[in-house]
Amino acid sequence: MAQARKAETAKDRAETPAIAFDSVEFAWPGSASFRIEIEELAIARGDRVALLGPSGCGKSTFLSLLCGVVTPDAGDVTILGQSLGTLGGPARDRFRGDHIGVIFQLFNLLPYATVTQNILLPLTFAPERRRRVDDPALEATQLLSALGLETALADAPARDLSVGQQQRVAVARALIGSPEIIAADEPTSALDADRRDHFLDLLFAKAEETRTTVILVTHDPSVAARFDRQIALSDVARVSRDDAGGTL
Amino acid sequence: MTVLQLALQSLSARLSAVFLAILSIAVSVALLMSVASVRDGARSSFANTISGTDMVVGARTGGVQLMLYAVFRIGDATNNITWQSYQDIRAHPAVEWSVPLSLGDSHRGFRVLGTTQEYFERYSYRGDRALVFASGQRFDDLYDAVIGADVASALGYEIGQEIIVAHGIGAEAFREHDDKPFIVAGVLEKTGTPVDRTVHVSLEAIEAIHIDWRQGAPVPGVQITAEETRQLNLQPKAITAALVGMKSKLAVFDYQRFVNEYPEEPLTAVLPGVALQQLWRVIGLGEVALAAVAVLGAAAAPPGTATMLLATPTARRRELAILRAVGASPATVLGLLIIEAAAIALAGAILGAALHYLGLALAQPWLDEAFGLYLPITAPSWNELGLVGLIGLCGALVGLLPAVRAYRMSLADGIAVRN
Ligand SMILES: Nc1ncnc2c1ncn2[C@@H]1O[C@H](COP(=O)(O)OP(=O)(O)O)[C@@H](O)[C@H]1O
Ligand SMILES: [Mg+2]
Repeated sequence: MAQARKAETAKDRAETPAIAFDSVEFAWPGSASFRIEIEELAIARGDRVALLGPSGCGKSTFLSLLCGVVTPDAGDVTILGQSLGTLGGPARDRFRGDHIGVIFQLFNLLPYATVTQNILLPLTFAPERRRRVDDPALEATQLLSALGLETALADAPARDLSVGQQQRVAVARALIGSPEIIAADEPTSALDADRRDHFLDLLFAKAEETRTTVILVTHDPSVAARFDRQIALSDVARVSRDDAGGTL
Repeated sequence: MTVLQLALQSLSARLSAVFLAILSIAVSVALLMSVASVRDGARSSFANTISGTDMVVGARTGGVQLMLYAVFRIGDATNNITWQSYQDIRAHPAVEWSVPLSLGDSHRGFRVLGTTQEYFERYSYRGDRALVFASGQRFDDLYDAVIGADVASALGYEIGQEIIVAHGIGAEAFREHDDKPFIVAGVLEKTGTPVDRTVHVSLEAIEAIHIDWRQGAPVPGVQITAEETRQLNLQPKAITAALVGMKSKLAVFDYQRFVNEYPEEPLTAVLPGVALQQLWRVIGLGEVALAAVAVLGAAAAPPGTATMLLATPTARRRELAILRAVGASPATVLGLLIIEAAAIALAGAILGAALHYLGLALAQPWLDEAFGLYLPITAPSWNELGLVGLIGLCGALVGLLPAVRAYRMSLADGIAVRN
């Protein structure tokens, strides 16, 4: 099976899934209480997928594995045909920077840096994305207005923005340089219903343009409902946990 | 944005905490440099206690001992030099000038020195500084006295003040030459040398007050009044030591041998510079202790402050999580933290040096006047630079501790900070 997948990869990169988990096993170092196993999961390019699960079930852990911030104890994660397990630490970091735009639930921005500086931040660490952008400042302004933010905010320090505005700046940062994948960790949980919908509209609209794969984890079924595909984490992952030892 | 820009921006976002950390390192550095400067100043003030004198001659004794009693007025001479011997050693063809010193009496704890008027010309210190009169002039009359700056200020003496000289020194000085009082004729400016603590009178005056004394006590039944004494031959029979200037420095060692081998009487001649160095080596132990205390204080300050001030783990963790998410490697993140710590340390060291030199410039005249401690403003020595660098490094390392903690947490955090 793994053999077949590899052969496929070599044949046609574009045909490989954006994200593929294969027999992944992982436990956080130093805390034996939580353990996650993902036998198989594939997300096609251009898909918009919501991964649904209650709090503490391992959604953020899943994203950490996906982004290559942690490495599986067994099995492999393959992103855009590239096996993360074969990359060394710095190369994995670079790969993440180049191909994945990450959005957190909160605190996405360096509070002291300006909005523009925050949006351009990935370009410092992701050479491929930097190459795709001709004029970074212009690109940042265009993203701002596309996301419904006044361009006058461009030079404001990020800390002066409302939470809703900050999340949209985070989207702009995830989008700049057109990475193939956007990975978002409950990006709407700090927003009220109206702004949540607006946020998702904007995200989808921009992702559509660039055919970006979106994977978003959430505990909120109404958010998940707006996606092409919903996956319950419990369907793809086997999670064992010993709550007494939990550190949450 | 480059990593360097990021670091600086992050620092400026925490300006007040960063400034306090910089200040704490600066204070350490300034403290250290000041201690070094005071130490060097003390050493050179000490080495410059007497200059322009090529040779100090006394009865046979150790060089340090001779310097102690002849120049520093500490302790006593075990023996005197007879007047005849003095005539012989000053008559040596290599001698350009000589000034006799006669010690043994005191006035309220200050030593009384019998000497010649030439003393005020020949005694110099700190290079070529000569003695300067704050008021009055040299002793002229037999019963004139010239007092040092400390004597004047400690006892509140001015020109015209009557002085009674006591026989002997310290606890022995209970018998007074109260029949022959002196009058203060001159007050010297502060020099920072033992001159400040000395009462100067003429050699003849020493003879005069002892004219009716034998073996440290007045001869019973004999009383010669101050006025009667003026008529007598007051040439001393002995002196304690002599300062000698040579015509040529080259003759110094020949002359030293001549004095040390003087057949009539066992004598010692020392080069003041050499003896002062030996003496400083003894005192230098205290110097090391002082420096050690300073280094400890300096090294202890930055850890305390910097750790407290820069530990804002949550905000830092979020910051680092963002950088990791956008593709920064752990090495880059660590580099960023190191740049920050180094920038703080560097700024601290520079500010510290600036504080030191500013303080030095402000305190210099006052220290010179009040303590005779002259601190030259010089570029820091390599030694000092090394120490300053060490403190900066300590500061940087200590500043790095909370940073590394935040860094390790961010590694353990996974993609997002857990809240
Ligand atoms: N960085 C971490 N280090 C150690 N344990 C962690 C870490 N992140 C999460 N965990 C543990 O993994 C489990 C799943 O957490 P998480 O993936 O954050 O769930 P979710 O995002 O679904 O709320 C929890 O028991 C949590 O304690
Ligand atoms: Mg989570």
